[in-house]
Amino acid sequence: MARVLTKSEIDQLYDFVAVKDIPYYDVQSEIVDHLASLMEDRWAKGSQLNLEQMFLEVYKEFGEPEWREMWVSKQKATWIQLWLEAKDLVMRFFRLPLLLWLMLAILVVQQIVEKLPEQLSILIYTPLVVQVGLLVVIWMIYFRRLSANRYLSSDACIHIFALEFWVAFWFLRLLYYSMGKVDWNVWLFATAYVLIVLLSIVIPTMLRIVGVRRSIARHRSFMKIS
Amino acid sequence: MANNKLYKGSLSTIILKLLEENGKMYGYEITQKVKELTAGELVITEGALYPALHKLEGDGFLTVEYALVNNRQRKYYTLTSAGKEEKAAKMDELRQFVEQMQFLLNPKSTFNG
Repeated sequence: MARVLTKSEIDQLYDFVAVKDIPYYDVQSEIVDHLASLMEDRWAKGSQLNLEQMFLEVYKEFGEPEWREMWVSKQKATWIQLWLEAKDLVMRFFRLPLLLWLMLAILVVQQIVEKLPEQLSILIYTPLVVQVGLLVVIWMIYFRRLSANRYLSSDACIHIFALEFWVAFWFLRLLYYSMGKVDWNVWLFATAYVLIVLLSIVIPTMLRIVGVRRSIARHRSFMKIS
Repeated sequence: MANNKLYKGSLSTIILKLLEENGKMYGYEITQKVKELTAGELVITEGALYPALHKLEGDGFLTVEYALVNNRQRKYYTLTSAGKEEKAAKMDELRQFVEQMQFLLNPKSTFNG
């Protein structure tokens, strides 16, 4: 039976690749698999070299520039991939169903609030308090994920966006009413609202990009096989 | 190999074609398949293969999956639907190039059929 590298020998190859400053775990895995396949192939063809001799032989063929070339190309491809994904994510915010639902929901709530009797005005504040609370909880969960080198799914980004959108709406609405509905304020609030909506998109998108990049670069268990 | 320079521009086409024919493949397997198909005439170096694979993956033409094989992770590449379209376009491009080269290098035989 042909010789197959053991788990500890594979770990030695990983250590060697890590020493070579290759920052991406999936590139490390690819190099390790390539070197190991090459070594095992030669043993299968009858080579009598021991592990160390065989490694030196295949490593010499692989060559130093090839290592660098591999992870530099990965770095470029990762950035292209992330920006394409970010573009796709941003476009998802502007798709009709989501925007339509948000606007419809805002309109419905707006109408209900307008028709509420004075003594029930507390109901206007309740959604804001609940939503800010929810946002804090969600942020805490996501920051924990990020600090554990995990990344946000694009659906999570959309949820954060929707919640931030709501909170911004309620916050600005309350501010607007508390300032006594001065005409010029309409433009000021409209601008502030657009800026907040844009920020709501930028924050989760950037978090996803940073998270994915960190995951690819550092975290082995990111690609652990189930 | 001296003729490797001629193949270099067609590397992504070769990769896309092989993946279409074989479903999923990993890096080392691709190098061996090319070696086998060309009877050792064409050797794809790792420094050329992996950057090409990463670029195709980054462009969305390939998707990857991992499997545990012989105590290590193996990264398999598969064509996406965009990759299949890209492969068809690249093959057309290559066919046209070969026809034009034949015409340029041997015009008489082309005219005579």
